Amino acid sequence: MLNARRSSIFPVALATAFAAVTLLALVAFPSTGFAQDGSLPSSGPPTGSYNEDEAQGIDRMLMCPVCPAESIDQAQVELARQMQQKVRELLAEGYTRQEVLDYFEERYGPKVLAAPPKTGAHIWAWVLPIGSVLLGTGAGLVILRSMKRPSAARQTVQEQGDEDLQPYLEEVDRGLAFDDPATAAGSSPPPEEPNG
Amino acid sequence: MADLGAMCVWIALALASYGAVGSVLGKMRGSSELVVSAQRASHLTVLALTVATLSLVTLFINRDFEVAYVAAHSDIAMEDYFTWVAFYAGNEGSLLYIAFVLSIMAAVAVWRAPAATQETLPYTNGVLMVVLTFFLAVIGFMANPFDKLPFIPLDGEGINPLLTHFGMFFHPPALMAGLIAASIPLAFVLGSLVGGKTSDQWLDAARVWGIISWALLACGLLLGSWWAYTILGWGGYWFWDPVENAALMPWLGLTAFIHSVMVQKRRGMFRMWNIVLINVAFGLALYGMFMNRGGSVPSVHSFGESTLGWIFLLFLAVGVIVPFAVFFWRYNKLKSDRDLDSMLSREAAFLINNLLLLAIAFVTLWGTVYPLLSQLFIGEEITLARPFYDQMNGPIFLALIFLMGVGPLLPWRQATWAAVRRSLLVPSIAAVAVIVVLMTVGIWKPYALAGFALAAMVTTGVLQDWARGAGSTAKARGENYAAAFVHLVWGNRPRYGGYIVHLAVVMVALGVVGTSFFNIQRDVALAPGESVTVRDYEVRYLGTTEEFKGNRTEYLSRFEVHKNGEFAYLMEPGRHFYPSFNMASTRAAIHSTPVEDLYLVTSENMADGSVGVRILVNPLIWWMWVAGPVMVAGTLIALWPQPARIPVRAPSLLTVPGPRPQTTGPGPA
Amino acid sequence: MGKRGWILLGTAVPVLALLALLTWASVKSGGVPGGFGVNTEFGQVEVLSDTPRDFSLETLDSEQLVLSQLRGKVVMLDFWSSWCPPCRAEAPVLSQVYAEYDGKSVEFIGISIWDRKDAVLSHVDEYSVPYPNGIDGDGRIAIDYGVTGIPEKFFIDSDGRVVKRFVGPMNAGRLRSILDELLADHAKGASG
Repeated sequence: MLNARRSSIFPVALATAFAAVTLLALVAFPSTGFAQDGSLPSSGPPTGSYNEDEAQGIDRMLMCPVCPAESIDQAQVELARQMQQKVRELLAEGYTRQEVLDYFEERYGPKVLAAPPKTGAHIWAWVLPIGSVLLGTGAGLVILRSMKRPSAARQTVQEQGDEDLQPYLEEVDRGLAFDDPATAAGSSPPPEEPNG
Repeated sequence: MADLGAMCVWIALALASYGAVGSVLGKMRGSSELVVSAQRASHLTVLALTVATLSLVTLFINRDFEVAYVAAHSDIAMEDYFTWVAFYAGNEGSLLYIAFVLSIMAAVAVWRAPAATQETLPYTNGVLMVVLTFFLAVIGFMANPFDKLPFIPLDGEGINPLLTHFGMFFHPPALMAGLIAASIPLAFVLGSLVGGKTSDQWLDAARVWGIISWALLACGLLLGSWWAYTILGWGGYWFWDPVENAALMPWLGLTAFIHSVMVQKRRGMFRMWNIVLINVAFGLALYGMFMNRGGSVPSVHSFGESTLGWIFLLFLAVGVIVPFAVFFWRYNKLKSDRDLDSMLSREAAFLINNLLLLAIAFVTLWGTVYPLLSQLFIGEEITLARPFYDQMNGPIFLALIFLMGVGPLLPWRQATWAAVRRSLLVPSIAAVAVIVVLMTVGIWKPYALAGFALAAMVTTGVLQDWARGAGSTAKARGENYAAAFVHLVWGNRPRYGGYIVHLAVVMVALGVVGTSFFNIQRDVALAPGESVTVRDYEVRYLGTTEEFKGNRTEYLSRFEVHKNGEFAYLMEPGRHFYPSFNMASTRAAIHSTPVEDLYLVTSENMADGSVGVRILVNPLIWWMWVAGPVMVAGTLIALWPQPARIPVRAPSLLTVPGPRPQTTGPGPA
Repeated sequence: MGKRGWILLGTAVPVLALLALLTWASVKSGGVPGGFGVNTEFGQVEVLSDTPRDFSLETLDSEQLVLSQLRGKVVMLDFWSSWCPPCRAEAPVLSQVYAEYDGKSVEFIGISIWDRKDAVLSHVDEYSVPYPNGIDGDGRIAIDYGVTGIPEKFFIDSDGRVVKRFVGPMNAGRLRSILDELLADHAKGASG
């Protein structure tokens, strides 16, 4: 049997670590972000030589300046189409993704970008929510642990809660589930716990 | 008719405010007559608002353009059945709709309130009537749909073309109803706390109404995505628009609440936490309404001409501060019955689930207010749009799905590591198998792999639990598996309804992963007769018909789709161009299968008959739309009333001396 | 401070901060929905970059107009569309002021964007616009100048730099005072 302490924290630690690592990984390597649609073969763009998938990725990172909260990939106005065209021209001229974004930022200001760069003052847009989420989750787990039964009591439990008891406990759980009371409005109130 | 409607709004306002004051005063002074009369007044608001609503419907059907609201949102050419949509197409009508829905739900909630809440019901009713009074006052004084124009226009301005879509019949009303329904669990909690009932009295009512509100929001969100997919013309369904976020955030809060409240029900824990959660969910719902009506954040969905921002901001402030004040007032009386037994238990899993849900809500809230923050601190407006949310919330959603797979398999109180290993063995094998299979067929994208593996894990976990349950029930009752399964589900509707909802969430996740990582998009210009090949689809453009209809030109383009060299089907995307706005609305043509959608939308009609067309292959998105009905079915099963029985809480571990006979059958006790 | 105090603090501070932020934003945008989003600011806006942005435009009279060939003149660049009501409303004003400055080193250029050629021609015809106009069909010029709405005006000094940018329609008085100011700067630069 595994060490009780280790086993008891395992899923918590796993979930938190999972969330933390992926969050950090994503922020550190933006090119793995959800927004891009990967490396599908380009099936012959109409003009010039550029990567259409790259162009579509850039389309999604530029906001349409004349429409509320739509990227140029989505917006149905003429300016958005013209900007898409411009993106492709610039790519065909050999601009990199970052240079294309800079081109538009220089002309339309930073709010043309769908998300700010992870540098300078803009780093707060990324770091602060991650920090708060980690802090909040941490605080939640500390509170949760503080709700735990004193360790002496737990010890008895641990001694009892061995393999032999487990199938029975599962049955209890299942059996109790059947006794789950009516949950709709109109049901009777739960009485005080018989044996707190 | 307009006068009748307006009069009914004022009557309802009087009734609601009397209901609010009377309930609370009557309860405080111990005057049961006053309480009863206030409650009757509250119920009568339903009647008054029904008449008001019917008046507005009649005005629309008669096209009474003297009424400003009717003139602004309909015209003679509008089909009568769009009255339903036109009714809430603008600020005034949608507020009336909200008030109407709230009055009905409040009446039902009070009428069907569980016995445990009876004593503090006047306070609950008071809270609901305060909310209703607010809406009716806004309608009466600031946004009256029955206001008349000084002249009678010959024709109305017509309904917004984007709204003339099937999805619009259900998406806005479901969302608005869901947002306002969040006030009912809050009212039960507040009522109990104010009345000094600080145990679990509010629990059942709050849970049921929390689920109703949650389900309405879920339907609204899915229908809204479907509407966006078919009509906005870019081939996506969700783009983290501020108003989409406004509906998502309270939904997340409610998701946390309806999970966490189970722990309170079964274990008597997390009482304070649940009160905080419902306060948060209600606050987020108010924030959503504020954003819809003059909030300081740009969006395509908001009621453009609204000037109600201030009053809704005030309402938001009051609606957040007052419940929290009540919570802190009663803080010292709110103690959990129990301690936590183990971090490896369903309780702990629920709490982590709560934290993750709130994390997504927080990141989303951050994204919607960041343009304001950056304006304040950096002096320039910075947008946080889809790339931000995808990168931040994507991983948290994956973690949530992981937890959705693990949580329900953990027993209450405490699990042993061996038991966990046993229940997770099959799901883990399934997850690994999916990863191996996908990698052998050449899919290496880490997110997609994680998404599919987790989907497999959750599904197998649920099915495994169903199989085990059906097996033991079949043995206990001597039935065949099918009958045993039905008995099992019917005997424990909340649990199995919840499982069905989980499966629906998996289906949504499949759609999200499929479209995010495997979609193909091509924008091309085609002359009649030309064709383009997208993967194994050959799309040939035949031609466009053009029809001039008053204020717009309707284009209908015909495409022939060949798959693997053989003719497969015809597709006809449409596009309506409004020259006076230089604006077009599109109707995508979608050929939908469980494997993938072929999606065609025209973006431009050139004078020479050629078209600009966007061709998309969207894998697995079909599952997302099917998830809607599944989710509704699961919710209905979970909510279906069960005959009242004496509830049994899972006993405390320390009181379990050893094995004793235990019924395993699902039948009535 | 007890647990209750900490929780109170932890709840109240973010909630009040959020409410304060929303209030501030509502005050700043004057309660107008959509926040600082789309063209809520009319009038002068910041010039993002003073790099000269040259272009060549085919006018409606089929002549090639190159901005850099107008060096030494004060140029008013007006982006407009025939379907935009404020643009139509200010068309007579622009023509009138243009006539007033005839003979001074001032040039106006109208650039029609997001528009159809027949509509542009009939607009120019209807208001008998005296200064050169052209159609920026593929939006190249508009994107280069970062145009976000119509009408939008750019004032280019005699050195070819964008010095002022205005969003929304403009009355004659305002237009005159800007032109006079730029002409004065020009004269100063020339004499000094």
